[in-house]
Amino acid sequence: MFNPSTFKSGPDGITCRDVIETLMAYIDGELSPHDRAEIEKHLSICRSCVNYLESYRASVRAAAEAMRSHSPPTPMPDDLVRAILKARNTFDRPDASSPNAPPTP
Amino acid sequence: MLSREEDARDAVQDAFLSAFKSLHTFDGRSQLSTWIHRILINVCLMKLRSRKRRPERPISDFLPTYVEDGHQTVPTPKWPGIDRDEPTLPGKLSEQVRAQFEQLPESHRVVIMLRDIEGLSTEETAAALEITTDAVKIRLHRARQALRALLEPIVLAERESD
Ligand SMILES: [Zn+2]
Repeated sequence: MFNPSTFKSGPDGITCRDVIETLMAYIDGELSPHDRAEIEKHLSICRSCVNYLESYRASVRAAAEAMRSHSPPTPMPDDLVRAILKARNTFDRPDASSPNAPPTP
Repeated sequence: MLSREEDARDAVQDAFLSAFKSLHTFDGRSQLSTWIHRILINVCLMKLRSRKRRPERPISDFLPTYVEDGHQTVPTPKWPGIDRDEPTLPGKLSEQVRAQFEQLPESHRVVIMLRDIEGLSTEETAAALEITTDAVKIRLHRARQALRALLEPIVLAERESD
């Protein structure tokens, strides 16, 4: 995704394209201190990129809220996970219920 | 992932059924939930493919464009009603948010589903979709950008109507 070798700042610093393409890494705190500072310098002078950042975060949150409020298919209950695990053990050792079965290695 | 609720329920049921049927193939190395997710995703994808669907628009249709000096072709306007600390949209827009979400290509929608909605980690998402973590990051960022672009006209129209 973000390739530091393409992140060369011109006389006016980095561009809007640089900021927008590295936005997720910036939000996730995955940028080097230098790149982070470059982004913040740009954000301090570019209203469009600030608007982009804010609306990007709003969109992520809106999607999560809209989808969660809309009853999800079916959450996987813990009981079901346990049942599957239990069933799996039975499948793995089909003769486990037989008293004469040899011990499983 | 599937637009209609009953389809989603069917898919979950089918996924659990095939999970039970293939229990012996579960190797215990992956988290059980990741494993079931993978099956669920495969079942959903199969259903999607089998259903007649309008053609998808490529993700590039929804990504920002730039002029030669790296500025956005169209500067991003401020969205009303959000600020940096609490960036959220009015709940009444939920229906429209879901409708726009459906516009995203399946390959990108599924990544938002797993990462931002189901809360899986990048690694878990990569395992569930059988793609690299880098691919997850690229798709997630593009999907969020595309969703942002799709929501913008709705949010701005909302301001007009207030
Ligand atoms: Zn900018």
